[in-house]
Amino acid sequence: MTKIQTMAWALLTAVGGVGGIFAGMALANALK
Amino acid sequence: MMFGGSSELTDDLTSVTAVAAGGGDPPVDPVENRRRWFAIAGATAGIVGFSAFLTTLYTGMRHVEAGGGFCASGGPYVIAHQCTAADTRQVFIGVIGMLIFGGLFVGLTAYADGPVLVPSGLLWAALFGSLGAGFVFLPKGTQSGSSNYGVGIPFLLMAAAGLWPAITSGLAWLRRGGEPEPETPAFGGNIPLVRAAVEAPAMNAPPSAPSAGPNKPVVPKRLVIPPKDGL
Repeated sequence: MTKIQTMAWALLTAVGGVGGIFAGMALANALK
Repeated sequence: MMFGGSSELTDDLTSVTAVAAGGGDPPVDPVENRRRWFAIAGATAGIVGFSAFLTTLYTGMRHVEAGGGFCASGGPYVIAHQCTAADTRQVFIGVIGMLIFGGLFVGLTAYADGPVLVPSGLLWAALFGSLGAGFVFLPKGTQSGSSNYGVGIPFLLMAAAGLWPAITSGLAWLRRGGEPEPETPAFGGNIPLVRAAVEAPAMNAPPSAPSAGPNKPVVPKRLVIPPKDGL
């Protein structure tokens, strides 16, 4: 990976991980 | 700066063979570069899915813990805590989805030539840390039992082990001052992994006459066979 790709990967992973929590709350609610 | 009519051709060739990576990196193969970007996009989808399904699993487990930490359904016995359909769906779909998307994230990160050990450890820590914390810190009004700590504390210890690669890699990165890890071949590149313990025989060497020296072992010149009558 280049430096830009590493930074993009880390940023997207962090944002995606946090965003996934909210998506998971919605998913868990939908599975009730 | 190029003079004459060949500058466009030269620029085109440069753009075909390599693209500027930016950030001081050397130019990289555009096909490889594109592959990495696609893999990074896929890995992002993987981490979103992993996080979402882990949250779903956590929600289902949290509800089970609020109901006493145990549930079952079916069978010939009367069950005090029946599993609800929502718990079952959340836990099972959460586990399966988490595994699939976690594998997708790590696999595509590796496909993008990215790190594998540290993100895998962090996923491990997220899984066991969240579930362990859920066992130890119960919802309000829930009666705690020793089994909560018996399961929750080992889970938290397992989560801490998953953080270890990230901690050691982070400390090494700080020691290097943010510089990338130097790529040195094993043993400096000049020491073979396996070395013969004895000298190799000289090939095509002229035959040498045996010489009797002080270190030469004594070999009998004649073999004396005992007479058969004595047997």
